[in-house]
Amino acid sequence: MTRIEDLLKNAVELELENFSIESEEMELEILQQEITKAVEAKKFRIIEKPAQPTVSKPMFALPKEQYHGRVCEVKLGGGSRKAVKIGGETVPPLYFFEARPENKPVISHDVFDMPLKLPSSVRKFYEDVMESPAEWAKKQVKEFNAEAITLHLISTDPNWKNTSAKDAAKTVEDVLQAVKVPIIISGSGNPDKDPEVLEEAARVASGERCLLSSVSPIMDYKRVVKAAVEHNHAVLTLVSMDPAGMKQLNRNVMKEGLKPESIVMDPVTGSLGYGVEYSITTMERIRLTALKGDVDLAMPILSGASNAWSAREAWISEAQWGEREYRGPLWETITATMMLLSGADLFMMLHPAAIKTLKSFINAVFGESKDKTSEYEKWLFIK
Amino acid sequence: MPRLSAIEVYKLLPHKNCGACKESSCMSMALRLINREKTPFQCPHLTETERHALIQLLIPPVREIKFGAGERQAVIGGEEVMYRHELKFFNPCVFSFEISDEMDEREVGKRIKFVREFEIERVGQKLRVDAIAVKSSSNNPEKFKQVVMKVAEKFDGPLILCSFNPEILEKGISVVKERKPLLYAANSKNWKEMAELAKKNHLPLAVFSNDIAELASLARQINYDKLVLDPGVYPVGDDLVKTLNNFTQLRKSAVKGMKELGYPLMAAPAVVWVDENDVITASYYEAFIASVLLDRFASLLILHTTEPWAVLPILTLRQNIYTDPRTEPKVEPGLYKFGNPNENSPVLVTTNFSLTFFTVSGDINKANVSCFLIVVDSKGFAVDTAVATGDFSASKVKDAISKHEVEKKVKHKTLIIPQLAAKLRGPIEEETGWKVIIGPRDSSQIPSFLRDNWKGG
Repeated sequence: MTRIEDLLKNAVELELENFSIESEEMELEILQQEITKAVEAKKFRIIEKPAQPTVSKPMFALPKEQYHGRVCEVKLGGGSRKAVKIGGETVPPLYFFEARPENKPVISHDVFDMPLKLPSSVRKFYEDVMESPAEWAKKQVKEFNAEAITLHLISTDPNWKNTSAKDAAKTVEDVLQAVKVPIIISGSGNPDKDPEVLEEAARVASGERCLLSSVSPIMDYKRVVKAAVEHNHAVLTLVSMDPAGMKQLNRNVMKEGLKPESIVMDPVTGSLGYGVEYSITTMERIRLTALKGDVDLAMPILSGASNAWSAREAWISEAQWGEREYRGPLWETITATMMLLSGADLFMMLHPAAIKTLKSFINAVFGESKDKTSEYEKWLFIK
Repeated sequence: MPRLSAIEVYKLLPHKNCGACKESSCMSMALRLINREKTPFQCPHLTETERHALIQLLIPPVREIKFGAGERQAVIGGEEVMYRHELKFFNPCVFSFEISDEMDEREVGKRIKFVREFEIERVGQKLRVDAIAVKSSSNNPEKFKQVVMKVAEKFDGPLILCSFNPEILEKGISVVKERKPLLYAANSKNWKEMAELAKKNHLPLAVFSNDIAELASLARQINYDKLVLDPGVYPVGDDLVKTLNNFTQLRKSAVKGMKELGYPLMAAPAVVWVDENDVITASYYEAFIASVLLDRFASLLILHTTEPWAVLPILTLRQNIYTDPRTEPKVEPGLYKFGNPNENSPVLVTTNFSLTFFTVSGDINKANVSCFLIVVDSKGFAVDTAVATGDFSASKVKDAISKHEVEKKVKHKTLIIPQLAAKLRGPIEEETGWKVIIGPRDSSQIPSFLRDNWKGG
């Protein structure tokens, strides 16, 4: 059989005559065979141009990929505050050459309900507001342009301050009053206490469409889901680095009446240096499974990128590693960036510089940056 | 999921099951070949033609390219997949650092020293940088030759010679040809001369174009099996998406079998310094851009910054991304002894996530203290994660204490737990009857913590 490549060696354009293929999904191989047959039957002509002196413009086309799933769109906020939408992807993370995502990833800034030990390079930004969660939230919005706030109710943990669900709900109300951006309400992570804390928070935040963070298989998730359904909130499902477990939990919460449009997943963000690669792989697998059509995993993904600060490299003073003042935020930046490239839609972040870098990257790839780039080749000529 | 099946490879083997390759059968040899644990040269029964066919079949979608000579030779590419969970990534991205022929002598010396000596130990591995890229910013052949000589004299690792002017590169080659440098770079204007130069000297050649159709065309016309592709990097603004698209599409094309694009990818994040002079801002952003490219398939980076705080994160990221995803990140749970612990020695507890374990044990070893370390089966999760998922809990600690008979080994009943597990203090005391002390935030503080807090139980 005539080799198609030989025939097309000097071709710049292919014109097909009397040639049609009826097929819904066309594989490239089929096309090639068909063309080869057509070539042999001399049913089309090859337009040849004289060989060009430098580079002939080539044929370059990547086989078009077929995806069968779409990630749900989840709306947060609304009510008395601004709304944001996340999710809606139809192609792998930031594959702009296949499709431009409808929604930009969103960064939610951390606020804690009590002063806590923070690395010095972070603390200096928030020192003046750590006593008041409402002031802290205001500062995040006014000074650091937060588009969403995560209120971590860490003081409710029975092994810490054991703040009651009622008192914690008052803090939630204060923060809702203080800022007009969407709120993620996060418990302390104590599986016994969180259900009542999140339930009470859901009640006082009724109508504000918050994200309740989080439910896991080891707690009474039904109670939280019920409150979310009743007061129209979204719920964060937490299963650490286990797509199968995540799928199961999502099915379970949906059985309780939660709509997929009210679910965000947290597959856990391991810090750079301490398991980020497992998070990369888990997120990629979850997203690719969703794009194959698995509706139980077709929800937006959250990354707790502030977890980067659990790495010693982010905050320890060690001469060999250079200034920790820059090392720390860079650690968080890179952790978050890896999650963005792996499919995360929503971020919990802590350091203003890390947030700024990630945000400018997101804005740039979504075509909203005014920065201009120089010619790449110039790198060779910097002295 | 590997791209080749064992059957496809098996078909090209002699089916003698002779064992000359030290494998029990040709089928198991086929598996070894796919996993790159053996080479076709280890089968003595293949004719040259058969061996050639086997080698052709085994060429990975992204060809493996080598540059440099001797022990520190750089090997890049050789990749088969888009996502690490589909198989693994084979050859870690090579980090090269630029030296310009217009830098003063002191700066050149400083940079050579950095590449030679920079080393950081993380979880049992020594992380190092790899190569030097000498570039001709002056466009003066003699100047370039001088600095290439100087670098080659003091540095025996892999070299990249950088200029778009073939005459300049020829000067460089004349002094370091036997060091097998990578030539950078052919482009749409100079490609004929560059291709000739590379082929004549049997050296690998980088090809630059920010238009991937043009890049494919250049690669096809150069028609050489030692290429590296540079689609350029645009660090800010609208063009950033082009960088992402180019890298992803190139890798995808290679994996889908487009042979003319089946070469390792490279770029120079050093371009950040064209528009940014501030050392801190530029270093920060350069490391950030490098991390994006590391995720998006770059096999070779040319960097400018030598700030340790900027280099450490990307070295760490490289270590993470190129970890074999098929090995579980766990160590055996159990009771580990450090130094010569006795019945009054402290007892610490942590999880069996391998990175946690290596970090903690490394710190204890460095401090030279005697103690016991209980490693709980946390399913391989780190402390904070395992606390959240319930895989590091009071009952798990209780089980470990009884299973490893800790109460027979020490006279006291005091347990030191990680600060990240502080909330488990009450529950553990309740379940085990042991007194719990909350340890330091980070294991590097264990020595000072024990000095200040441990009075023998």
